[in-house]
Amino acid sequence: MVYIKEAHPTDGWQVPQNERQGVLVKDPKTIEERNKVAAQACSMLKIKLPCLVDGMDDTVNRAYGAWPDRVFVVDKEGKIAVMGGQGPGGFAPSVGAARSWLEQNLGGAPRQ
Amino acid sequence: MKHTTPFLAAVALLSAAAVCLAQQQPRPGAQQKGGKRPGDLRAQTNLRVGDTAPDFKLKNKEGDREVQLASFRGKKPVVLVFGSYT
Repeated sequence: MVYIKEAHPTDGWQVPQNERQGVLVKDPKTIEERNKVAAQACSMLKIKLPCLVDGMDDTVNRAYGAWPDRVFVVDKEGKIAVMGGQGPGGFAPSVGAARSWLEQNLGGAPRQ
Repeated sequence: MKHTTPFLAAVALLSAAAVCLAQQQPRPGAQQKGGKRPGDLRAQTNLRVGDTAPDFKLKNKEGDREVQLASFRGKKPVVLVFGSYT
């Protein structure tokens, strides 16, 4: 996972769903704060992926047009093989595309 | 098949992350019609499938290890899941 700028912080675009669920986070202002929220996110959301943290200049986020969330698959040659849509609407469908690519290219277990 | 276990692990992790991140999304109906809401930072990118993925070097959340995307080139594919807590 690449942790990027918060989508719905309490001091930004807060959404009722997060208020109801107690997901209340201020937008980090330092890399230390960002690391801390990234760790909190991985813990609370039970994300087991290795987690990298984008810098405060949001360089990687901007390079990939990643905000608020997005999935990419980069092939072995470093080329973009799957480019998901931007969240929220584009995120879930792209997971299927990523899964298909992995199945076809990593020789996963055949489907029954 | 020797790739089966890491493959299944990758798919499982990807799926779990997807579920977690999807649950954090506001309902589409919550968005206003026309134009962006304040705080909507979605930006276009010129990237296309087949382009070289922009390289980056980022530290982990512990801040004690740096990973460069290009270090995987010629070795293995990489799934990038971008997201935040909220």
